[in-house]
Amino acid sequence: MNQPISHRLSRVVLLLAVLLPLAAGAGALARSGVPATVWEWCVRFVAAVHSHAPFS
Amino acid sequence: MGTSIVWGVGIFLYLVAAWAALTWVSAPLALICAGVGALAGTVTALLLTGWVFTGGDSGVRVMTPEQVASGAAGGRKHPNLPRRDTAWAAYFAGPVVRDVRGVWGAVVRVTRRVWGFFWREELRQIYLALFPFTLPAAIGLAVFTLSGLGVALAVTVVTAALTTVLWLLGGALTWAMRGADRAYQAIFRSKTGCPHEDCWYVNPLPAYRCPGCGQAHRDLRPGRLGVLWHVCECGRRLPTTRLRAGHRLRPVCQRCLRDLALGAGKLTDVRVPVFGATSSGKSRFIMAAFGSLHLAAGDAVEAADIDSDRALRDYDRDLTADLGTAATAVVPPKAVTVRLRLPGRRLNGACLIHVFDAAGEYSQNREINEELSYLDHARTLAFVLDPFAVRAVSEQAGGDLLGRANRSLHDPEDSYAVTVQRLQAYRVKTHERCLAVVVSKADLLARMPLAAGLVPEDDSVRAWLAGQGLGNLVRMAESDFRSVRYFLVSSRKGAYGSGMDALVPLRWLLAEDGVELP
Repeated sequence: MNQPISHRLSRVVLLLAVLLPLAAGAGALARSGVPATVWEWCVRFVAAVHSHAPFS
Repeated sequence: MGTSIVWGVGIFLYLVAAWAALTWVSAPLALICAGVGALAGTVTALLLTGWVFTGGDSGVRVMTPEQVASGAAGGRKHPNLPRRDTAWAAYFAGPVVRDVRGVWGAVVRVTRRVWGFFWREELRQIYLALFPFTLPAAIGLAVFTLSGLGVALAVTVVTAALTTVLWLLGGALTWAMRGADRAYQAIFRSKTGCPHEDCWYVNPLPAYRCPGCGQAHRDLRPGRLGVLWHVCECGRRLPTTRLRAGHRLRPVCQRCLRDLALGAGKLTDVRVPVFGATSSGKSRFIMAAFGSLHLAAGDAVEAADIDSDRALRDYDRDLTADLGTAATAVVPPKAVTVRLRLPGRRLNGACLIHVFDAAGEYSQNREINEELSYLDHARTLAFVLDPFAVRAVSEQAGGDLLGRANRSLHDPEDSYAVTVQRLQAYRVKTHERCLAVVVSKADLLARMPLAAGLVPEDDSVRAWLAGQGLGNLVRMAESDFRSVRYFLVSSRKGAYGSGMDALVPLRWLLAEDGVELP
């Protein structure tokens, strides 16, 4: 049974409404430097773990 | 003792090695696996969302028009008529929920499969044996799962927000359109009566046929199936509201599903039952009234259906040739309906006039009179009274005149009482209705001395009736109805334009119903 074209259009709109903010959010996040900071924390954490590790 | 020392040293070395693996291998690898898991989970969930929204997931059940009719899209079901229509639901009124459920279902399904793949029975022992090295994979899988669920949650939140906004906007528009539609109906009195015999249902909202597949749509109001348009099962877009549907779609009766006149539900609807005893001149009066209406309005008046067109042609033929009128069959009548354009009105430039002509037997017999439910819903009525049925007149008239008059043998007062008492028995508020008392056969009556001084004016006819022993009938009528007027009518073609024109009472009745004839 063919669904009305309005349903398909609504789904496209909905998909865009999900993807566009997500893409915009990802772009803003990348520009904000948050991932680099988080990565730096992670590296420090690993380094801290290493300092207590055998053979360090 | 020696064995214990060996075991102790072994366990110590294993723990040291595990700790070293955990810190030097697993911890950095866990970071990488978490990143990969997050990316994979997000991309997978987004792809699944797109897959569901593009209709790729056959697991998402389509909300079909049949399911909508059985209540899948919600909404109240009125007790009197089937109100839920068989049409597609508006996307944000039902199908969207199924799609969001479909996204969750797909994400959970894929995540379970991924976990199931990596946590197979045969691999489980290996993971445990290689424990510290396999920890990053477990962290990657956990992050993959959380990312996927996070995307599903984001889709749900965005959808809920968008749906809420659209419901608020759509709801406001729906109530505004419904309000305007109802106000229009109340102002222009456009509830339409079914003209068909044995139905006569007054439709507050007609059903409309889809021009594509012919299916009757019982509820084309703005709502869950669409604010501006509904979509038929066949895919045809149908405009909502009586105002917009009335322009383009064929209306049908909600009860009997037979065709109504084009524009029914949108145009002002006037129903005029004509009652009176047998041979009182009802049919002739109706013929003459339609004949005069055609002469007065010209092309502005037209038959609204095939049967009415045939009836009007027969009327014209009989009047022109001055043929005698055959007795009306004792069957429930179908209304003769005409569409009349009203040039002075901008918003509602036409009206439908239904005239019901039941056989006189219905006005003489209380039992069969009960069948005529259209009487209950008329705002105006016409009672046709044969003056030759009055004893004083028939005694004075000669045999030749009585023969030509084909006089009614039934008491006018009784034929009035049968119908009006039936209305009151059914709690019809007759004191809110109008009644035209039509004294027929005026051309023959004028030949009698008894009618000397009788002129076709309300007071004169009223006084004459009272003077001929029908004072009780006059008093009853004036006490029963809000407004009563008396008319003297000749149903011959030559009466057009005179005071005895059959159009005069029809004009008054229509004016009482808000329709001014041209």
